[in-house]
Amino acid sequence: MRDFFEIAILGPVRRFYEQLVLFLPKLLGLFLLSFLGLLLGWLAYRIVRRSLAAVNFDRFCSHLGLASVLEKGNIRKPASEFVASGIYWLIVASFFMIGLRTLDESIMAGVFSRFFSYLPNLIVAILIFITGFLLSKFIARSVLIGAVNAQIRSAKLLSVSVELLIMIFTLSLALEQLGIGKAIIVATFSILFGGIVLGLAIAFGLGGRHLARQFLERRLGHKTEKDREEEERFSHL
Amino acid sequence: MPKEITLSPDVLQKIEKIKEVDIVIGIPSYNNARTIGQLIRAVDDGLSKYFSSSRALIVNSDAGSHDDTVSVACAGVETDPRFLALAHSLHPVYKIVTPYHGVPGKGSAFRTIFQVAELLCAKACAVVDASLTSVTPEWIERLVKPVLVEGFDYVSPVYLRHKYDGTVTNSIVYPLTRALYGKRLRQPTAGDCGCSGKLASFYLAEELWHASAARYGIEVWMATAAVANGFKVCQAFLGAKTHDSTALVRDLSTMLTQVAGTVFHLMERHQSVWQAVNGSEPVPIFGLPFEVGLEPVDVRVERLLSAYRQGVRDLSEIWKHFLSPAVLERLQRLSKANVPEFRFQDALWAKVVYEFAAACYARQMDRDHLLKSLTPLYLGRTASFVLETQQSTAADVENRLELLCLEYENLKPYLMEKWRG
Repeated sequence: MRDFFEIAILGPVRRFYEQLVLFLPKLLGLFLLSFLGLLLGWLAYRIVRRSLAAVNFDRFCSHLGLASVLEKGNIRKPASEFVASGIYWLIVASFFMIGLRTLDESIMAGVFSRFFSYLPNLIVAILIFITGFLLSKFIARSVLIGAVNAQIRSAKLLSVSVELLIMIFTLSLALEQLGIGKAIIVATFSILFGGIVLGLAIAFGLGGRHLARQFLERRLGHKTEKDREEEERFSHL
Repeated sequence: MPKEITLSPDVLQKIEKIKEVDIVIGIPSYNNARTIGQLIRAVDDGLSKYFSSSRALIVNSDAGSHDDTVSVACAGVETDPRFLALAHSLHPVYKIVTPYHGVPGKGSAFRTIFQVAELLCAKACAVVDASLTSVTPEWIERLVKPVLVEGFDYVSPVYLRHKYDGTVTNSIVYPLTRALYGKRLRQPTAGDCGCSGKLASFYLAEELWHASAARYGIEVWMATAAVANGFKVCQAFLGAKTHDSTALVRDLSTMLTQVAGTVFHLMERHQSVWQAVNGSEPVPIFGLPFEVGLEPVDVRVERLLSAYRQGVRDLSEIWKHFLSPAVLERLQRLSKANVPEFRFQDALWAKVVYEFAAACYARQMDRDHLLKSLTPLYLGRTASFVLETQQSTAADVENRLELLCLEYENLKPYLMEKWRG
């Protein structure tokens, strides 16, 4: 009876206790690390928000059109809060992953290493996206102002096309960095980009022979008929 | 800060031989073979006719012309009988042809000329543009005499121009600089001017020569620096101003960006000066205004208006970042007006210029984008001005400009408010 009690009841309880004794510090470690992550995340959030507010980041984003993009995505937060929140969640998630690793080394090691080896790709992809976005806005605005000043009627269309092309290129680069649908994206981009360039070349060659001629004449420093016609006969200065 | 000398050793050697002169006449040139010979003869004549007892030097500062500018400039004096006569006079007219170094542009030419003037302890210095075809010997007298005889430091030109000529000067630079600094300098963008040796040395000591103003807006900078730093300024009536047609700037947007950009940049630099100025005062003029024949000018208003309308249609999204909603709304309403009723009111235009200046100061957008987006508005204002003054004489137009200037002056508190954000 005593053996039965030992084997059936006490043994499992002891083993559970031993496992519990082994597990509890790990659980505590997870909680502690998660708490530390929350604390550091909150600190980073405050620092980033204040720093961005000090350099008028929200106004800068508003001028670049980032704020309106966030609005379109139904994100009502200011851009500085959005960036600070991103950093907050990145820190919290990182510390949670480190905490999980303490629970079971063998299972979590793979997840842990995959998470941290993927993290640089994610950061690079985000940076590529932000750079491409800013560049597309800047170049599109340059094209728009230049085209309006040159009195090209479809200035807006030209500017939107340039912006779209740069964004397609940026997205392809960012997705490739993330390793999502590599082959499909490269093929899609090549077809799309090649098609647009070919289309434009054909359109320019067939429909815009006169424009091409004028363009070349101007590049070579000759005055075209149109120039002579349009040239103001008064000095602005 | 020690002054940087950009002259080559052989030029310095020539200067050492000359030792001292009273007057330096500078001629910045770039591909002006067609006009420089005639110009040098006019300068020579002016010096011999009006300053025969003064020692003078003509400095041609060339920016590396690809045509025969330099050889024409040199030959012009050697073959000119007037020059030969001068060479034997008691106070000869020396001549130096020097390529200028450093920042490419007119600013470097001015720097070279001022350095020569300073090294030779010149009392007066005048600069005339090599692309001009209307320079007469009297120009030299009128640019130099107020400095040598009357003790002025800066002589700004006044030209007789067609009523539609110099619209950037008339609608932006003149009214704005007048409202800001309180001096009625009619042509602050003109490259032909006179200055004292003291002012030339002051210019050389300024930390500007590597900045964008040295490349694009040296004339405005010189006029503004003279006024803002309390130098004695006056004006000289020079008559008609005509250029060699090949030398005119073709890209309006780039020119407008450069000129307006320089004026706005100078507003930042001298903000403590202009914020204390109220109203404006006339500047003395030397030389009697006389009538000269001017070629009629053909302005295609429809083209200017279509540029304005397209600007309002396509650039409002950009303007809304820095123009006030009230101004933007009026611009949009105006774009719907038909040709006969199209009137870009003075007050609206002054507000537009002030808001652009304040936006530039507050770095509300890339500076180049901001300034270039002013072009359609300027064309709209020009169209309105042409429509309004089609039947007016040059004198009427001048009176009309006076009203615009007063509007700029009245709205200066508006600028201060926008400037302070």
